[in-house]
Amino acid sequence: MIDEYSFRIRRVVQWTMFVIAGSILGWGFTSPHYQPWFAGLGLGTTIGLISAVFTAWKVHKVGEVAIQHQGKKKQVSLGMPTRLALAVLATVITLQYSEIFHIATMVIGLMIPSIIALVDALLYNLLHSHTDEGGE
Amino acid sequence: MSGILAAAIAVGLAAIGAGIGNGLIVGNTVSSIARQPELRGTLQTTMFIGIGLVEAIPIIAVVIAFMALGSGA
Repeated sequence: MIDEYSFRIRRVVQWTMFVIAGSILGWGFTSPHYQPWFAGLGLGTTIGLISAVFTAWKVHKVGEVAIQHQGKKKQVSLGMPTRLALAVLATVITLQYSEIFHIATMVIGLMIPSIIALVDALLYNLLHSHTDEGGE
Repeated sequence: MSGILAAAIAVGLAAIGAGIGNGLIVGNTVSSIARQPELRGTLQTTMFIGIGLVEAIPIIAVVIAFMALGSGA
């Protein structure tokens, strides 16, 4: 069961890295007019990927605590301040070097791992709902 | 001065929504995992997607807050 979780997180990471590769290609092969857009997208997606991997690790930790520490008190957090601080870091870099990075595409890049996870889950459910017929 | 106020209101209001949403997601997932440990992988994936979607708004709010702070109004 836990393998399925790792497998799906790995797929989200893989597709996010494809987006980063695409933005680097876009940065390298387009005219200087479009380069800040792709640079912002690359920066946002990279920080979004770090944030998504951190979330996945924290969610795994919460699941472990829910199983192993039943009935006992154990504090775990989801690391929301860390994720917000990562977003602040990306914003500060973008505002500091605004001629290199475009802020709108940076924000879009920050959201890309979440969107990929959602689309991946929708596709996974669509593809697997046909094989699981005969349930309730 | 108004830039600082705008940043504080944006981050504060977004954090309220994210706090309530994250609390509901984590609470329900933990009780579900405790009830059915064999479904842990599926439940954790749903929790990951839920947290990602809930935290989209505070992250955008933080970016807007820092833009308002940086504008120096």
